[in-house]
Amino acid sequence: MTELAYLTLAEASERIRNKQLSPVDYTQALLGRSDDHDTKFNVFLRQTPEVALQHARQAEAELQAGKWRGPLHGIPIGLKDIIDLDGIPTTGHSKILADNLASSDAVVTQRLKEAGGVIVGKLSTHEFAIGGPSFDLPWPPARNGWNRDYFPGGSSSGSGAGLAVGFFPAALGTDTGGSVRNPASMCGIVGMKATYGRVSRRGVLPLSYSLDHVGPMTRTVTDNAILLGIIAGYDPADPGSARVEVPDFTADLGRGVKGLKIGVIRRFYRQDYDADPEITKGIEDAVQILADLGADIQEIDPGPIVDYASANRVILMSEAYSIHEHWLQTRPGDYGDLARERILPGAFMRAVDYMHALRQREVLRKKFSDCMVPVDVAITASSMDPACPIEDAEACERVYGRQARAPFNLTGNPAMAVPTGFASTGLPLSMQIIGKPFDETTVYRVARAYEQATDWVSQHPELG
Amino acid sequence: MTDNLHHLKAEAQRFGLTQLSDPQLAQFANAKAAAERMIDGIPRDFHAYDEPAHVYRASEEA
Repeated sequence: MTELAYLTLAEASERIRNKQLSPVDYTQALLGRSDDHDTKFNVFLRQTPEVALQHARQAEAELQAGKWRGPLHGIPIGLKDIIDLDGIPTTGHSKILADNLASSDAVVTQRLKEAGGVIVGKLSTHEFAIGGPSFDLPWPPARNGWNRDYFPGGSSSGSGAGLAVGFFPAALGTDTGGSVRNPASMCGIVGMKATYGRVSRRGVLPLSYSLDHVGPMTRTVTDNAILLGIIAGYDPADPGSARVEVPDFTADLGRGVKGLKIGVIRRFYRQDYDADPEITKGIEDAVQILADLGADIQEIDPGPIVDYASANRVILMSEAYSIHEHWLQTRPGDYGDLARERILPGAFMRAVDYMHALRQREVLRKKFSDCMVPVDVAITASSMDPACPIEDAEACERVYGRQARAPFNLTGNPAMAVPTGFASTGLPLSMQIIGKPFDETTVYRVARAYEQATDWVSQHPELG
Repeated sequence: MTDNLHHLKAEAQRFGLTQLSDPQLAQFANAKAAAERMIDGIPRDFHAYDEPAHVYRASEEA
């Protein structure tokens, strides 16, 4: 069973295509694994076995008839529970939306289904993708697969934890201030926030319209590039959607990094924050590996992280409050404490504050773009600390803010969290690779070269 | 009822937040302080021509 649990999407796809693996058997095996182990990790808010088996049987019939839809055909995949799946509640992990039955699929769900994906369930999140980890909600928070006493990151917590423990080879998360990349960092998996506008958000519960992104989460870089290729594309129903061509994100995976220029943003983790020494060592070791592979390394400086974080916060608070105002007025007691606490500051944002933050956003976007001119990609920290104990609310609050992800929600650049090994506690370490707008292909190229030079992806937690 | 609580309730009411319990009113007070700190981090000395980042675009379908 463990062998099936840790097949990569690409490996499973090849076996399915060659009829060495039945989508129905594969789906049943993974559903069985989560039945056996999910009481420890709380990955699923709701398994959807009927939906999954229907998708798997359809995939099997099509494959038997010689129809192959592509690399996702017959592959189990989980959805963060703010993404609509027709006929199944989208709860946002909140009592407020406990009975919120989705009447159609999100555009990304539709794309997964069209590609032959097998939707295995709705996954834990922080309440409304902002309040967590919380213990006062109708469902418990997800726990880290490497050690269940630790925080798995958030808000796409179930997606990250479920990948680490082999419940599915692929999942979707969302990212407004780092919520794909945080759980990816804490759980030792790969999480991509593509360029703003690359992936449709239609049918996804919003947190902050101009900062929200939907992103692929997988155990390997190749799988991530495959999944982004399936969900990316212009959507006229999403006002932020970009009318740009979708390239083959896997095209450059084998090209290596020789001659590529990589900028290292050390100021974020050495000057603006004093990152945990094991995080810093993981990044510096990775930079050395990339240099040894032939990349040209230089340091770049986009200015203080606090400038980016401040603008991000004011925009996020203003937009989130506009979404939550009605529920805060009518059902304040149905929020968990943490979500209410994190959303309420938005009440005090005046229009002029929001406008200044948006003007500052444009200044910072240009500043970051200028600093990226001499390089192809940049590298910096994701989290400044490894995962903290999940029941230590103070530590979680402290670690939550010590991150370098939000700048790229603000600028819209693609940014991906990639594992860089393990701390002495056995918990995962990671870094971020940031690209130029709509150049996810080069981010994947660099990430894949690094991944091939290390063996982090072959390591998995013991479930006991 | 203390003056402070009375004041908080009145302020929350201005936002339509009439159903907050006492602990939630305390959160509301903390939120005000948090918002002030967030707003302090934003510069305000922009040139009039410095436009914000936009999501809005005129429809191409019109």
